[in-house]
Amino acid sequence: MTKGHLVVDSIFKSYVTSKNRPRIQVLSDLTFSVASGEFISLFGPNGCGKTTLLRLMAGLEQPDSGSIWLDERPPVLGRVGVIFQNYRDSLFPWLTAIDNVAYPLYMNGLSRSVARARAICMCEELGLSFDLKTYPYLLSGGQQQLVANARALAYNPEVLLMDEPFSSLDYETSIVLEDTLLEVWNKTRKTIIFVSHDIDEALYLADRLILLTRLPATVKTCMDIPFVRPRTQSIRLQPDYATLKQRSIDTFLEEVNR
Amino acid sequence: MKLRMLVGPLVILCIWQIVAISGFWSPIFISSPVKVVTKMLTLLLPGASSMLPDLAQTIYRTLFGISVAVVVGIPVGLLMGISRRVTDSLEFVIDFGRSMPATALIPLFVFFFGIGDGAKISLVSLSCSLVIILNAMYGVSHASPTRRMVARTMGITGLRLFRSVILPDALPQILVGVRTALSMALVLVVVSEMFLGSGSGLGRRIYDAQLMYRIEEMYSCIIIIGIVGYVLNRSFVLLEGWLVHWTGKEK
Repeated sequence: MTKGHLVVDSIFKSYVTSKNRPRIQVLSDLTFSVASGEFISLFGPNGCGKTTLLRLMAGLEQPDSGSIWLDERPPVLGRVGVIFQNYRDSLFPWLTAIDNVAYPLYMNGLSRSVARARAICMCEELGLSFDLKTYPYLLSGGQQQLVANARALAYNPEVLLMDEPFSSLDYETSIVLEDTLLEVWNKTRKTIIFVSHDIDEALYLADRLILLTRLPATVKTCMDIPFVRPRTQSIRLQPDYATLKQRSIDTFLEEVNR
Repeated sequence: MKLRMLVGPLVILCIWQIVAISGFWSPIFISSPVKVVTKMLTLLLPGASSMLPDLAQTIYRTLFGISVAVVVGIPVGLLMGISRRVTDSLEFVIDFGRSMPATALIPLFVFFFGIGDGAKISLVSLSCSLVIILNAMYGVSHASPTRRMVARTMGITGLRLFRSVILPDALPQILVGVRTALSMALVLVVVSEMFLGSGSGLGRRIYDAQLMYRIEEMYSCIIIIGIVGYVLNRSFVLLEGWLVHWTGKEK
């Protein structure tokens, strides 16, 4: 059975932000599906409910109506890996880098030594070349993000949800990490849903771009990104790339100025 | 340790010495540092007039009081931090109790606990536990929501989530509470030894020495109690640096 097949079927979600304000409809009739092993970029105007969607897909919250299916079952905590934008706030500063990666393993039943051995394997696979016995606060931003990635992959979730993971890193680090991510994806073939604010990043990484509308969010359009893999950063030189980028930006602006 | 750190204390000592020999105040009220230090050294030796038993009493009451406060305050504070409902119903009471000067309660404590150690230790325990409760509560309710979410996405919930994420996240704030309470405990012990009828303790000793114009003894005890406070606080800061090494280091 192939794993990581995700179906988002006509979901609605609304929130009450404060007592005296009206309910905000965040997601409205949102539908899309992601094939097993597919790499999807989610792109949309600011505050369009991408993070809400991610929380629903992770199983942290339930939609008001509609349903989400992960391999024919509702998503369960522990089967989806989430990587947050704020890597500083998502690592455990009281644990060393290696223990951060081992954490989900030993908390879910493995012995400490087995968990640590597996964590070391994961870090090697990701090419983490710094001292893994250091604490996160002694690592650079890029290294911290790598630790967070290794941790999310270590417990072998079927789907990886990434919420703008590189947006608070400097440009050079984010370019390097984009390639690291593609390598890992190539090896593991996890289904990845990557929320991005950067159209170049989204097009470079994904098989498909899903553009969301403004609130209440629904799918505006889906675009296939047909470039052959393995890709290099030089895909930007291709005329097709420029056309695709222009088309995505036009659609995006059309939505923003609606 | 830098040599510069000695400048401040030396300046104070010089000013003290100059004031003492200037004759501006009568030697009944102010003694010279040399005489005070000599007296202090004899008082620190065992003997009939030694201050060691009093010192031990004061430290014992302080540590006893703070221990009770820690044992009671941390669990209560953690509970309050977890449940919004408990926080809402108790926060005002605790905050009001903490804002009230504990010394105002001394007469009340005499009524209920008499004038023995029980009264002093319960006064210290009560006041200190309020400070510890509030800090433990804030520690839990201000624990990083992102880290909580990270653990939940991994399927870690309930007590395991509390133990492995919320508690360590709250620990720095809990320790701030204990440190604040510790210095408060010493103040309260000394005050209650002075005014809550007592036969022993450095507070009593300072008060008696002042009444009887044993001026060198009074200054000696004041300095010793200062040293006790300083050492307690510094040791606790060291303990904190070791237990919660990550605080303030997150870039």
